Order: sequence, then C-alpha cells, then structure tokens
Amino acid sequence: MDRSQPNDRHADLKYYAAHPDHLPPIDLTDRVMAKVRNLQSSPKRFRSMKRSSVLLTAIILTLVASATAYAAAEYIQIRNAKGKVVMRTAQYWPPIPPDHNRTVLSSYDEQVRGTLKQGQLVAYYIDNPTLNAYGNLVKFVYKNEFKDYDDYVQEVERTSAPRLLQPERMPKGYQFSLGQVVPDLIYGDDPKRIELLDRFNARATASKGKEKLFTEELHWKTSGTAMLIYQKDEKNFLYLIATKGIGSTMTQPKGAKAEQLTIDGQDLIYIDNRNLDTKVSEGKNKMGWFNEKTNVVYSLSDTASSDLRKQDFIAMVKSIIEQSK
Amino acid sequence: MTTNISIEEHIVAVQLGEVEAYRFIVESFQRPIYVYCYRLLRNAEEAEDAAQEILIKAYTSIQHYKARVSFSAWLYRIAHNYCLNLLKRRQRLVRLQWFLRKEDAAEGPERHLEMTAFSPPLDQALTSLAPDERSLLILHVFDELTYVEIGEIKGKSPDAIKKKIGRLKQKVRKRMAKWEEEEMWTDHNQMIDTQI
Repeated sequence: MDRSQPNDRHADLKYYAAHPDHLPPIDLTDRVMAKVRNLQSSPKRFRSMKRSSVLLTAIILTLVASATAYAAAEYIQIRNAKGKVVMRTAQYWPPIPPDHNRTVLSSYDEQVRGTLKQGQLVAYYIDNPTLNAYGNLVKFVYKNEFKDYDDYVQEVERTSAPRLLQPERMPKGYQFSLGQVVPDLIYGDDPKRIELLDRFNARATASKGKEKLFTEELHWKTSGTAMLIYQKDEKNFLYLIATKGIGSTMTQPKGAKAEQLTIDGQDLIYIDNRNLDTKVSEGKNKMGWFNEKTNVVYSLSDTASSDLRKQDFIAMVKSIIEQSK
Repeated sequence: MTTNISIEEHIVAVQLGEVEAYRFIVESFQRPIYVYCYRLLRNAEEAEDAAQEILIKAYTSIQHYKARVSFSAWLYRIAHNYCLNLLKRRQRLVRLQWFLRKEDAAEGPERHLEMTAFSPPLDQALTSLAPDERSLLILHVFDELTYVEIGEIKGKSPDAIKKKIGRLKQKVRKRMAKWEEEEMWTDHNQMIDTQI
C-alpha cells in the first residue's frame, strides 16, 4: 500500500522538513482533561456506543470493529463499586445501506461464507468505495460450529473462550441446537488489520478492476466469544452469548421498556420488546449482565415470535449466574 | 507509546463514560496532532491552541467514532477541518487588515519559528498550494496516512486521493527545483556583483 516507509520515495521532501522532535515541546494533558471533566459534568451530554458484542451473523452480528452510532434519550446504566459504568442501554441506529447495496453486500458475504470449512476464519475485501462506505473495509466470516455439546466445551477450553455452560433451567420445548466459538478478530487500529487492508488494496490495484472480491484466510488460536443456541421450532430460538469485554451497551429499541434487576447479587438489565412489532433480529426479550471478576459480558435473547416472559428469562439467567460464580 | 489495541480499549472506556481514560488518548495523540497543526499553521502558539481544541472536540464527538479505518485518521479529520477553518479565518483577517491599511503584525519570535518547520525550498513550494492541498500533502508525506485514511478524511475514494496527491507531489517538486535554480542564479549574480 502507500504507507510511507523510512527512506522512502518521500525522503527528498522530508529532507527539507524539521524532524518532529525539533519542534517546540508541548503538554496539553492537564488542560484538555480539565476541560473534558467540565464537559462530562454537564448533564446534557450522555451518549453511548457498543464495544464488543459479537453475535451470530445469521441473527445479529455486531462486531467490535463495526462501531456504530447510538443515542439514548432514556437509558439505564449500571455502575460498579468504583462508580464506573459497566452496562447501559441505548437506542441504536446503524448506518443502513440502500436496499440495492445491501443486496450486493449480502451476495458477497454469502459467496465467501459458502466456501468456508469448519474452523476457518476468512477476511474479505470488496473493491467498491460505495459499498465500503457502509462499514468495515475489511470484513470477516468464520465457521466454527459444534452440534455436539461436548465438542463445543472442548473447543471453549482449547481457545480460551469465555466460560459459557448450559443453563440448568430451560423453558419447555427448547433444546440445545448449536455451539459456536468465535475466533478473535482484528479490529480498529490493530497493525495486523492495517497490514491486511494494505495487502487487499495492493491486490485490488494490481487487478485494475478485473476482480472485485479479495479474500485471505487468517490463522487464529484464541476466542473472545462463545455462544449457545437453543431451538424450539423453526421460528423460536434462544441465543446465549458470552464475550470478553470491559462493559456493554444493550440495544433498546424505540418504545421498548428497560429495567434494572438484581439476581443473586448480580446487577443486570432486562429489555422488554413484547409490545413492539419486532423484527427477527430484535426478539421479544433480552437480558444482559457483566461479570466484573472475569470481565465477561453475557446476553440472553429470543426471537420475534417468542412467547417467553420475563420470569422465564429470570429463571434461565439465575441458573447461568449460579454456575458461572 | 502504547499499543493500538490499548488505544481502542481506552476509546471504548471513554465511550462508556470513563472520563479519565481520555488522558491516555490525549497523551498518545497530542504530539502528532500538534506537529500536524504546526506544519499547516506554521505558528507554534496557534498550533498549540489548535491541538488543544481538536482534542476537546474529539472528546465531545467520540461517540460518533467508527473504527472503519483508524482512530488516528478520525482524529486527523477533525484536525484537518479545524485547521482549514482557522486558515480561512486568518485569510479573511489579512484581507480586512489590508482594507483598513493596518500594518501586519510585527515579526516576533513566533514569526521566526514559522520558518523552522520547513526549509525554504519546501516552504515556498507548500505556500504555493491551497491550504486544503497543503494539508493533504502533509497528511500523506509527513503524517504517513494512507490513501484510504485520507479518503476517509476527505470523503473521497482512495484512488481519487492517490491521483490528487500524485499531482501535488509533482507540483511541489517542480516548484522546489525551480526555486533552487533561481537561488543559484541569484547567488551567481551576487558573486559577480561582489567581484565587480
């Protein structure tokens, strides 16, 4: 790619510029921090953004890297003993591409996903600035699914994924369907991600527009997310997810009710969507909590046609909290 | 310096409401942002004020940060827009001063510092560019941002940015070569004058 290297083709220009170390020293830290503390104490601003909830792509997949805009008019927040916010709710509006672009994006995603073998993590890049405007330039797909629960547990241990075991109490009719162990992905400013993007760009440049889709298989060893899926029938699923993190923001759709609960000393947030005309990806109920001892964020959610109630969720979560202590 | 992942972690912490996590971001980015401002504004005092305002502005906008390219590219976009606005204001002020027939500011120590960011050949070549063009070149050559990152800043495709920067580099190099030729010519004349 075009990132300059020392003694590169810009050396002639750099020769005529003062080295940054020779420019006057500054230290703005105290001044800036004093200002931002004042800003923070102002009640009018409080917005939030999701960090690292990683969900099943087929249902909800919000990767850490795909940081998305949120705004919260009414919200709940849970603070830890030190006063730090570790859980909160926020309204959520992702930048949604127009229908046509979304269809094209999905077709590329399906194309790469169709080639995956068990255990594979593949990064891909679409050489199209319009499509790339809606999200990460480098996209990831993976396949690491386990239909056998024991195999799933073995994979959790092998990859150091967060400990996520089956709830002892499940609503009637729901049975274990699938376990997933999500590879650690590279995101944000990670140099590996920049290098990956550089490689894709170099390939795209060399292709001169002949190819549009570029893929690269990535080697991975560890996982930051484990997931269990339970199924009742074709429309009713439960998704239980554990993600390593430092806190979490839960999506609170417009009109949904959110409340804070405490179960066995664990603070958690319950979001009730039952009065809303929810889409499949949103579901009717959702509970989330943060285990500060292990730095793991948990979430449990259902699907749009679910008839489960708050009490069903409380029963399931209680059993999960008990065994994760 | 810190790892990029830890920067990301701190950004998330700030987004979750932990104000003190922003200290880490300020410490990590204040210098490169200041240097960028210094090169573009060519004034130490203005660059310091600008860097401070940019970091505060970044804090108030951090909820909108999307990790599509990099946090630094996002921060540079704020810096780029801020400095260009400042330069526009400065131009308007210069025009106003001319209209009112006021004398330019006296040449103080800062004026001297302005000349130290770049040596004369590059300095005059950069001066020949529009502020926006100067910023693009500085971002690419000195701050080493990629075409993709600069594309994000300008809202243009990496290819368009690559072409634009290619043309700017050519223009600057040509100006530098011309300047050096003229300087040699002047020096040569001075030498003749001296001999006479």
